[in-house]
Amino acid sequence: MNVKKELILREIMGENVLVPSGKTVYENNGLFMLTETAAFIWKILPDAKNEEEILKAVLSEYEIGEEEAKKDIDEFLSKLREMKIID
Amino acid sequence: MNAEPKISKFLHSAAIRNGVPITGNFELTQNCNFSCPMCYVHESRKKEELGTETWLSLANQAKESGTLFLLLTGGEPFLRGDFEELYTAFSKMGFLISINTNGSLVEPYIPLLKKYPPFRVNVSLYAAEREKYKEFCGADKFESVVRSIEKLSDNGISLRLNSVFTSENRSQVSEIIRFSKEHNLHLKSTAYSYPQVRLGSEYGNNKARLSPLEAAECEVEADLLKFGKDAYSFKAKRLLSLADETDDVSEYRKVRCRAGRCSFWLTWDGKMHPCAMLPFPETKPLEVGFDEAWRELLQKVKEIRLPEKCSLCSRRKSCPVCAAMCFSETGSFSKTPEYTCEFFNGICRLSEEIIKDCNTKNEITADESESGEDFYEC
Repeated sequence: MNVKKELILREIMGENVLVPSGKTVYENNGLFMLTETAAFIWKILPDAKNEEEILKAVLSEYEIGEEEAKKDIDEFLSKLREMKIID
Repeated sequence: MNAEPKISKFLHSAAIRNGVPITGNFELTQNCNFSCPMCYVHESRKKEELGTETWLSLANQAKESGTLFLLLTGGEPFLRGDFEELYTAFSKMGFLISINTNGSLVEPYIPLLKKYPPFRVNVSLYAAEREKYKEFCGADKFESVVRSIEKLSDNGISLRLNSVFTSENRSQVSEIIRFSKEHNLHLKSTAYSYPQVRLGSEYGNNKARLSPLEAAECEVEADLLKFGKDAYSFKAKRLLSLADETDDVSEYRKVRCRAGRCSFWLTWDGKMHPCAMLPFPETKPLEVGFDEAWRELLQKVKEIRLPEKCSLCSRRKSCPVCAAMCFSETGSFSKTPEYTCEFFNGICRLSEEIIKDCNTKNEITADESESGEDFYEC
């Protein structure tokens, strides 16, 4: 998936913090905290072709039911779409 | 509105609990093209500074240790020939960067700041009229600084004004506040100046500063102009709230701010201090590595004990006294700095009068966040 904005994922004190960089600072002058799963999705996002692939990766990484995983992924991706970080 | 975002407060509290240096201050240079009377940096003190590679290595190590918020300061940081290289690298490392500057050299860097916008640029403004500005800073730069402020604003770069009120610019207080309002910029100001111990002057000495009572009057006058009487009463009430008798007073003998607990200051020559105003304790990251220097600093700051007298004072909850004030005012962490004491008691007396006079105790409707920034935030 095409990640359109410059954000840097940092792990600080066990928290996943997404730091705006480059022009992203203009649009969101602040930080985002990600859950562990969201941080995992963020890391695989640039190489994932579609949501199906993300779901497969999440299911193989975490002991989580398919429905719950789908819901988490949908929520996170729609947040990113809302913020125009992905298409 | 300039209240600290909740996420930043959360991360700082967690960093204090975990001993993580989440905030870093890099004093990139001790050179400055200005010579402001209350400052510990002066134009004449040209010094050899650390090289590009050394700063990059220190930044990388700080990042590995958990630093997220980074202030670039000096001296005047834009005087460094490699500013663009350092700034670009720091931005790409994933720091949230703020820059302290006098604003006189920033203009050519606006394209860079547009490409990698900082979290915020803090511009010092000690006068808001050309002649007064020149007199205070020793540089005829008022107009170019104003132009830079306007250009930065026009380019969407987040800005704040910083000011210190001294005996030399007391008459400019209302002008500076008017300027900040006209430009719709938050102004962080104080009438307290630390003794210039880093310049080698005596403890408790800063020739440019106001007397403690004049400083108290100036502080309150500035806040009234900034916030208005109603919003100020909020502040005043918080300020006047007395400590709880059941407080654990031993906690008040320890360092309670962020300095040396989740924040460090790296000097132009590579020494690590808790904050700009506290040259002691000092550790040496260039010799022992960043992480080890931070651990040592953390331990040494833990051992500091502030004055017993202050810990027993009924105003201990809201008094701004800190380790840096004790040390720079008296030369010792455990002596009460009389200047600070008189300054704060002066503010409290004036605040009591304002509350009495205001007579709006039950009808204050102003948004508390307007006056909600920490009164003496560093």
